[in-house]
Amino acid sequence: MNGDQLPEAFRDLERFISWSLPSERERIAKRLATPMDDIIEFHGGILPKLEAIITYLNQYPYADMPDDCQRLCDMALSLVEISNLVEMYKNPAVLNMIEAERFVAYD
Amino acid sequence: MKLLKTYKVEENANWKTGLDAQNELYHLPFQHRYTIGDSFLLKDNKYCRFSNVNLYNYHSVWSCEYNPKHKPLPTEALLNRMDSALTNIRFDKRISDFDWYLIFPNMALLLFTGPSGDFFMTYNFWPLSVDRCLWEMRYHFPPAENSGQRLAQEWSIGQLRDTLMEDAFQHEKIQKGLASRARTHMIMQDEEITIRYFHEVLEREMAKV
Repeated sequence: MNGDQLPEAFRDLERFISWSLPSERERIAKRLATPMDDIIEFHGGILPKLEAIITYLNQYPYADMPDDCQRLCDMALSLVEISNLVEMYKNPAVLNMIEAERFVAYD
Repeated sequence: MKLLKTYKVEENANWKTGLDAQNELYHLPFQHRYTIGDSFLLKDNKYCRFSNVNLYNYHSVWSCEYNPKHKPLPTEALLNRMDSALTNIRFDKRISDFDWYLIFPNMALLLFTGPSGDFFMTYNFWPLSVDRCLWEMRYHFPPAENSGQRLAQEWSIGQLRDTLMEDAFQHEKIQKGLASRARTHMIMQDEEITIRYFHEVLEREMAKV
């Protein structure tokens, strides 16, 4: 990591840079491959900053953001991907869902 | 409106098994209790009964209201508050908060009221064989003006996606039960009136072939 992946005000979140993923398929794969404790750590690290993240990113049109802002937005999209798991489902074993690899997303 | 997301799943189920399972509402508080919680539970309608039904020559629509006292989750609450699109796009001629149209024979159109604008989904069920089908789901949203709006859209997509993955799981279970022939008939109750009507229209049209 070279320390300039995210806007300066959010550099402390670079420890979560592996969650900055541009496609839903990648975000789902990351969620499925990550232990629950690590998902909870990511959730706890980024959620308190989400309001500041959105306020900062909203300076730019969604379709035309600088690269570091796009990476931050992609990281916030990963929070959205895991938020219900942490805040509601708690344990993915309670859900009777079709296998994720069969339910294919096209962004 | 812009096509923002598509999901596709090949199911081990007849296409009508999948379509029928989506064409009612009262399974929500039971099958989706972990994924959508109290979103559709009203104080005087805890079993998610339709607020409106219309039957047309081929098609049908049912509707329901959202729970105005829904307790949002932490991320959901923040995203709803920060969803600040300048353009507030609303559909005309809505029936309720959530309108579900069956477009005969194999398509559904779902109209949703969203925090900063309405959005819609379509389903298409394509038969692959007598016990296999392709289910396509497409989400259309207003083009996101900013990240706050885009993140709120993704939250709505993800919550719905999880319920649809539960539905797809059940479609295959239902198909397996039907294929066992343990039951010769299924009794359709009042909250399944649009399923009954779909099969009435289907039989009417098939009789013409």
